Amino acid sequence: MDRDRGIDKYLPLRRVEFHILLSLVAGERHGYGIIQEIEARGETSVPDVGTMYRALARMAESGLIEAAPRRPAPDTGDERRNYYRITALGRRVARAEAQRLELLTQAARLGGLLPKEVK
Amino acid sequence: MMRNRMLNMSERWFRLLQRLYPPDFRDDMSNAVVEAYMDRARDVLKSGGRIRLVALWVRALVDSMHNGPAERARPAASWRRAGNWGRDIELVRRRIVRSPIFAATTIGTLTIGLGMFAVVYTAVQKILIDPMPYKDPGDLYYVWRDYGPIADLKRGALAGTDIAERPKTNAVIEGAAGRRCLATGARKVPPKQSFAGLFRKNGVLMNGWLPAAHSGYCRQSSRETAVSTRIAHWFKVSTLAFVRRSTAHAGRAPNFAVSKWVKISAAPRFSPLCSPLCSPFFSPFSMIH
Repeated sequence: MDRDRGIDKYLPLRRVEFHILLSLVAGERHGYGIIQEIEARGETSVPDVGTMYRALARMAESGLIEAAPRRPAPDTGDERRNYYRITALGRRVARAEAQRLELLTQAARLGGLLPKEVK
Repeated sequence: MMRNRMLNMSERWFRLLQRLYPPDFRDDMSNAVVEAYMDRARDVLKSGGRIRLVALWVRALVDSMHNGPAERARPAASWRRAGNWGRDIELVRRRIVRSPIFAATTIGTLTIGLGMFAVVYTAVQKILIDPMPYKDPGDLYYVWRDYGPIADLKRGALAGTDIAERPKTNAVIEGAAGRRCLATGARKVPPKQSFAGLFRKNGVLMNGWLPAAHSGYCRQSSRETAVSTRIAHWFKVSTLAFVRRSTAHAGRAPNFAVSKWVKISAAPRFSPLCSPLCSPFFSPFSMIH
């Protein structure tokens, strides 16, 4: 747990940031790929492209993600897309954020805001 | 055809909207943002047609009008907030990370270039610019003798007689910086003549190389006395201090013996003024002030 010291300053994550980390846990993605994954998750308010790339820049700056080597897009064959991957710090922060949300969800269930889990 | 046209128009529009973002953000993200919009535009054209594409244009406008000024007000990356210095340092860092060979070549070139400059500058400074370690470094002379009547040697070493006769003249040798021996045969044969030369200390330290600038004198008269054979005496004298300035010398036309010597030029080491018989090496004397 010592390694997790200091990650509290990254919490709570913004919604778009958590989505980005969730997408990058599965592998490298570019911005539009992340947006498509967010849509696939059923998120009602999908972030705009500008919001997405500002968040990517911010998270790359804070070390949660990093730029991956560029590669040509399979359909257009250009290299204009920026690919990103999650860092070890980003993975720990995402896990901590998930735990935090889980605790809040449990509290909501105990408080009667959500139906109790069916086991 | 129409689809490509719509996509081209979309790309121009998305690229135009990028002007709402600050330049640093555009440098980093502009292509990726436009490409993401273009991906969405292709999807929209496939599924919904032109109406949905126009809706995407409007949405992109709203997005850019919101995020562009927001990025200008509060940049995502800290180096952008640091102004020009931060941007320059960040760009250099990225260039080094992306092209390590280029960076290594640049640093190596700069290192070699600066090193060579330092070496050349030091050599020039020590040999040509720094004053020589003598009392009057700007009033030193390279002196030789015209042996024309007796040998095919226009500018040879001073003979011992020249030194011996110096009390008869107003020109007094005050000091000598070094001497150069005449090479008269095989290396192991002792030199038969030597003369006083003035050299730069640092030139000698650099493997005996003579600096390119020194003053030369020759006699006005071609009539010359016999060359002295008092070699031993000459060596003894030459290792001591001589060349003392006098009023005659001050006029830069010093008199040695009975003839007048005039300054002829500045002579580099291997100039035509220097006899090929001259040994290229100078033997330094101790510094006498």
